[in-house]
Amino acid sequence: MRRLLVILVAVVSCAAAVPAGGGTDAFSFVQVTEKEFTLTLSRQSVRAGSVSVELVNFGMDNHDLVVKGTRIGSKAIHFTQLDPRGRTERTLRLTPGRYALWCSLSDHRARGMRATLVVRK
Amino acid sequence: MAAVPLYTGTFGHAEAERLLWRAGFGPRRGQAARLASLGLDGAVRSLTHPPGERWVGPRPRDEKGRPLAPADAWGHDQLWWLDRMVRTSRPLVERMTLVWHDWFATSDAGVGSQKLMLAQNRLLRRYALGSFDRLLVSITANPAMLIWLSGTDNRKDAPNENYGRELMELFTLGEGNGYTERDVREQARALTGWTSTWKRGKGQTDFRFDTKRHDTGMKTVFGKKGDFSWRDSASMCVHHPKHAPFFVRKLWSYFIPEPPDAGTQAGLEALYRQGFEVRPVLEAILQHPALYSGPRMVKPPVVYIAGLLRGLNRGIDTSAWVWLSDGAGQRLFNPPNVAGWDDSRWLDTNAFRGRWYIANTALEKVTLGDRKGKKGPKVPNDPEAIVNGALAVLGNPTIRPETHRELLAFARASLKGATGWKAESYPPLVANAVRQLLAVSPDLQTS
Repeated sequence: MRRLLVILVAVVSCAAAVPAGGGTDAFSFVQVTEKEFTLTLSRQSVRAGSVSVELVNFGMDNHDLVVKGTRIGSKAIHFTQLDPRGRTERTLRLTPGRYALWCSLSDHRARGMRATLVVRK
Repeated sequence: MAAVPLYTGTFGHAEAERLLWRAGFGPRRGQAARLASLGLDGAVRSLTHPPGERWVGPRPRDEKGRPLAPADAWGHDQLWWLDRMVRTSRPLVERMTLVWHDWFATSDAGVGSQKLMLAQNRLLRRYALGSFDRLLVSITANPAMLIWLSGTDNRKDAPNENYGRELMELFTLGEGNGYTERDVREQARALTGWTSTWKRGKGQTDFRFDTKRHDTGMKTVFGKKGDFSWRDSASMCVHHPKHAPFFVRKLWSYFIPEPPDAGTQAGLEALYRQGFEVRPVLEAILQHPALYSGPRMVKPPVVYIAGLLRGLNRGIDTSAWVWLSDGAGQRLFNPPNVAGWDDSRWLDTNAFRGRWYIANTALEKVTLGDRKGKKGPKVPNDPEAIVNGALAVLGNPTIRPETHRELLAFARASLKGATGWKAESYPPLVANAVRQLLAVSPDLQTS
């Protein structure tokens, strides 16, 4: 029973941050702007549901983005690496909680390219 | 006081149309006729003293049907503003917001925050027709401007001259006109004190004036001594004797392509000096003979787009307008530099191609012919009806007789010999072509 519960929790946690497949739930936008060496969010919190996460590289180096829920078992979502002035967008289905965002290239995260997004009910 | 000449000619449909293009984004269907019925004075007053805002038309969406998120999605800030231009019932307020955006040109390319640019946009709109003195003081302390022209980098131990220079060179006096390099340095000292806090994930925030960072020493600006601060810095520029002539010439140039004559210039300066209010000067400009009898002006790309959509009764329903207006040489919130857009470049060969695409996209929802297996409406094999139909679709704009003749000649030549199966398939093709040609004609590219 206990093992079943652990498996169930793991499945739910993995589902906390998954690419959205469409639907008619609440829709939000957040823009993530990256430059050397900062990562800025257009808003600090969004409503749970489908969230359009737009990544904009405002800097002069390449950057990427990783989005991962802070709950144990959360799966990381990787955005494609962008050239300077590049832009990409993905719609994610986010459940309530806190999400860490960072650039995974080289030492960018340690140098400051990280932020937290709060997803509220 | 020198009187400013007043237009006393006919104020009919064509004149009202030109007024709506110069002081706004072109007429909605029937709007030119209604404005003409007010007479010149009534028409201008209706623009300079508009009632409360009332949005006309469908709410904006992107091409996926999603509502706009102007602070959070690329391009949605531009779509948001373009939507205001399309749906506003206060066109002069919105047009003046665009004027101030060019006058105090600030680019998101340097600011890096759509949210801050939108806040600046709201400030420009608040003072659209009001006090230039208050507008200048407010824009000096505006966070987007403080980032753009290094206001928050300007400290008493290391003055930054960026804003102090442009305050005089571009915003109030003109290059080298009435100020010296010493004034630039002293203005920079007066403007010290602004700062902000960088917060991870949020960017620059908490913009404030910190007296500990301000140079409180005596400064000499325009020959006057005092412990001037940032408010004084702005106000001294407005009260400078060379400011009123600069202001009048620059404001006039947004509405009338040829400079004012000496008497008009003097009269407008006198009006402006009464309180540094924008509205009375605007009213005089909008009632001046030169606006109605003078040469035509090229419509800026976003004005052209908004006007097409207003005439077509179409709202914002695609983010394509962002790259389309960029292709024609104008991207809202992204002027090329601090001097704003160069309106002598609106119709170079590259920009004209952008306008062709704009017209094509605007007309795509009214393209005639069969679509996805469905039969389109029947189009008569009649050149005159085709040309009249094109005019009707675009809101019946006033065009010159020669343009009408050219469109008719094109339609006739294209339909010549269209018999048999061609008699049914050619007319919609010709009608679509005539609509495109009308939309990119000199008559609709200018006002």
